[in-house]
Amino acid sequence: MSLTLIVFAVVKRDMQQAVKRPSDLLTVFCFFILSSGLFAIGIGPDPELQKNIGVGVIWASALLASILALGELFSGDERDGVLEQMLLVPEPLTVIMLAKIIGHWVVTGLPIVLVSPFLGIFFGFSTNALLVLASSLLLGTPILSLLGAVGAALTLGVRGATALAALLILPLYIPVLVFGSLATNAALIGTEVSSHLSLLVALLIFALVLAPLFVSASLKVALD
Amino acid sequence: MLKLVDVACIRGQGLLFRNLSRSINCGSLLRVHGANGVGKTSLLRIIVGLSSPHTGQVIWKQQPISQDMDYFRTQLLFIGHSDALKPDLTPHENISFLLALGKIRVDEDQLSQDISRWGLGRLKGKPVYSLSKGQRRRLSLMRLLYGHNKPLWVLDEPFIGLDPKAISVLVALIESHLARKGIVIYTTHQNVDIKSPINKIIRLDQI
Repeated sequence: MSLTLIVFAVVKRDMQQAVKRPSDLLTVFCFFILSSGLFAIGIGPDPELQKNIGVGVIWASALLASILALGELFSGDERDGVLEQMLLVPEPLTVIMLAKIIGHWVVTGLPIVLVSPFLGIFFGFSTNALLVLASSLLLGTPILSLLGAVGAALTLGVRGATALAALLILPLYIPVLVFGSLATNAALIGTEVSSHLSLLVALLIFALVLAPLFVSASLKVALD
Repeated sequence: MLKLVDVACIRGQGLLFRNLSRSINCGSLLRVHGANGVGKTSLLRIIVGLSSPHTGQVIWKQQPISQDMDYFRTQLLFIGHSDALKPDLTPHENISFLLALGKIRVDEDQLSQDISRWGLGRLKGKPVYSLSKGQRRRLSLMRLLYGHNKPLWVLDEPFIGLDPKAISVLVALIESHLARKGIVIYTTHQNVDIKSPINKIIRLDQI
């Protein structure tokens, strides 16, 4: 019971922070829209070509945007001394860290999911493909947040942490990118999408179980 | 109740202290004394279990703390060097978050009243970044008001930045905690007079 209260408190605080300092959230969100938009402009007015590369562009932009959001994930709390208070809570640290990652996803990942269908329209996707795009991102962005949190935790306190985290984590993002864009591409050409989405679900479960463990272990070492 | 057995601490390249053994009973006040850089904060972090000692053990109620960390943490209130406040949130939001982490339940109205009684009522609704350093320290120390069922208080430089009035309030809080058989471990460079049945000191530069 008290654990749920703590989880609730952590998520609530991250929301409060996001509302009071929207710049962090807006940076990620605008980066996502701009980088996809720039590709569309750069490619030129060929509807077929735009449709063909749209999925890859949107997915790659989501990946990069989620990397951009990693910088403050733990470093802010470490600087203020909140992280050590979190480590001292007499409850499993993995659960508290999972709460933190969920909070992070809600303010950075969820907006990307919600805006993605509009970008899809921009690239000329069919209604069905728009739905698949949004649902693949709904499954994929939490994985990005979970894996990203591992990178952020491993590089906590290191100089140039974000760049290093990106180098560590981007290779791990590749399966998510592959299955996410395969699903949407399948929807665009009208073939079966459920197998790709199932694989994304599997990856999500895998990351949900393992990432918080890695995060708490590396934070304990970082604060030792 | 709390025992340090043969504790040694290595930080960076050098040995900070070793063979540190002390036994601290209920109702004791322990001051960790020493110049900058002798390892006061490191010792406090070892005591609360954030760092592990290079050798030796910290024992709470006849059991090494590493054996049942979760139980030990229910017994502990640690206020570290940093205030653990988020600059964008209001005093109320900050304290209610920290209390939730400490599993202390206080209802919202009570908390607002306590913030006013604690002398921070005027700052209601203002973000913490607009507070002075002393006010932030005071806000952070407010957690002690609800710390009566946590027997072990560990305070790293609690008096820093506080005005004389706030210091006397804090001293009274510490004294009442000692009177109910709690243990207070603290560091300070200021000379603050705290009345305690058992007064102990660890001089780290003489170990």
